[in-house]
Amino acid sequence: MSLLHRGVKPLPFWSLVFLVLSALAALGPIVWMILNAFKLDDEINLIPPTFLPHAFTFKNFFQLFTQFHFLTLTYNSVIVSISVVLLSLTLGGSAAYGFSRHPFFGSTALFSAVLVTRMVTPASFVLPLYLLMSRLHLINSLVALVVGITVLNLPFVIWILKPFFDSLPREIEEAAQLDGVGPIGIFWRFAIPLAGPAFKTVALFSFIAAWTDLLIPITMSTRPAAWTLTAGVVQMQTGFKIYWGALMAGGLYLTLPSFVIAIAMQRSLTRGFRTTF
Amino acid sequence: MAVAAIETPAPNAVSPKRRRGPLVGLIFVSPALLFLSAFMLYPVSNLVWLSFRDYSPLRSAATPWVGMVNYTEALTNPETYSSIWTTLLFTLGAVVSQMTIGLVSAVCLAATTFHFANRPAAVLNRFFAGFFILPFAAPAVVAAVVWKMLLDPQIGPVDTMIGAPVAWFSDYALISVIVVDAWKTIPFVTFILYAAVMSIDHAQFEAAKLDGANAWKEFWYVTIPSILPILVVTTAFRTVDAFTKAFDIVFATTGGGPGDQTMVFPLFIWRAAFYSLHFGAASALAVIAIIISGLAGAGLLFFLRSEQNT
Repeated sequence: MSLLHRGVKPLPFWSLVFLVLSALAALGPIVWMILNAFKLDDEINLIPPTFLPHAFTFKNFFQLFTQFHFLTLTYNSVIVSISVVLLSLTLGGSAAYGFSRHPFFGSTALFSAVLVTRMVTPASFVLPLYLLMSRLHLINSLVALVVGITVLNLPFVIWILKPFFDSLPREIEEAAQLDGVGPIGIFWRFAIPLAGPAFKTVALFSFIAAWTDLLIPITMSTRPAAWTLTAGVVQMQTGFKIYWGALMAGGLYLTLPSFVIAIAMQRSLTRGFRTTF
Repeated sequence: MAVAAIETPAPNAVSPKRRRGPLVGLIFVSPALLFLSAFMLYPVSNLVWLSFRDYSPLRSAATPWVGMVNYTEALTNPETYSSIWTTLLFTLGAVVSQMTIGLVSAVCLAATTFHFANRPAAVLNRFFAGFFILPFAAPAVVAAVVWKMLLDPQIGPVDTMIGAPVAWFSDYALISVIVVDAWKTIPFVTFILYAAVMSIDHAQFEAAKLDGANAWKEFWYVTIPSILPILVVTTAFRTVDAFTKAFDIVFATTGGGPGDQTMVFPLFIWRAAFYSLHFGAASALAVIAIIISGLAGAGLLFFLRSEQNT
């Protein structure tokens, strides 16, 4: 970028001051969560609050597993998130490919209709979905969570993947077609490998969407046995007494996978933003 | 999820060639269509059906036809309007604060990039981007509980710093909720606008400089016009998202209270269904929400298409 080499210098000092302040504002709450996850509740209740933990403890994390069902919740969250990723990619990947490469009468309208559902208030879908699931006896089952989250996630997946297929060169597929490979074979053997990076990005986004979803688990599950971690963390603060230390530990625990994924994706994230416009 | 907001269909998709007739396309699309029909279209048709019925499962399993009663009740209930008003205020506060601060951050980030050319800039940017990405990656629920602790009148560090026990989530509930949403979303806006500022053609700044423009004029006459399309699209998406998806943070902090001060519309519907257990009335509200947000969404798509075709 030629800009970098020339000397355009609009207000670098104040820019830097502003950036440092915003970085502190962005970081502060996260640091507070981490520090308090390792404090005892007695210390958290001190006035004024302490900054660094005086007595460093892992008690809060143990409490998550002994009192707040985090073993079950972790299992549920992992199973649900992975299932959502697989289902979203299978359904969304093939649909996006169909919309991109084999348009049919009405497919443009259909694609637009799918996109519009992404903008519709998700809360308005959950009541009828709840009634359907209860008729199918799937309330308090992980199936209801997977289906519910996938319904909300699928339009997004199709939306992201279709332009990726649009931008793939057609020559390889056309050559394969001349060699007599069928459309499904072309999709499976050529299009999917070519769209690999896009699939990876969408898989990670879908994972985070499922991992952090709140609406579906609090609607479809009435028992901790069928909650995900997100629902578990929210429920931790509805009790008579709030265990702040455990709550922060739970928040940290819930956040770690998202942080790892986001930091791993940082480059492709910013690059992705740049290319979509 | 907020990220979804910005990825728009590629402008000039390779013109599709029809090769094997309509059947092949349908084969690829049908699994997703069947899934969405079974778990979205069918439930929503059921929702419309239910919105003309009286159904309160605690009282009775019967669902007698009541005509437009649920709708007239929803549209004459002052709580409906106060909830929509609250959602509009939330949307306004969230979008204005996020776009403003996000734009300033993006421009500052670009300015330091230009100033500390090359290597130091790359290191510095990665440093800031690394910090900014954390709120972006934090689940909304986590943002909510952390801020609930930060703003707690007894044990919260914010009140200790200002030296007064302010019950933020009670006395300034809507503003507090907006702050939490802003904290989580500003980084996302910053990333997008930073990418936009960085892609501005350098010659434009040179020309402005030759004309004797100072930093402020450069910002106003070069930066803003150049990134205006992205600024508009981002604002539009943030507006629709803030209006339709304000749920997690409010649910996990105030629960809509105190009173109904933060009762945003998605939460209002959800509570009518799962708190008051008035499924008929909740259905009418949900149908109203689908119509409003569907129209807004369709309008946004139409706007994007026309924007890309010009």
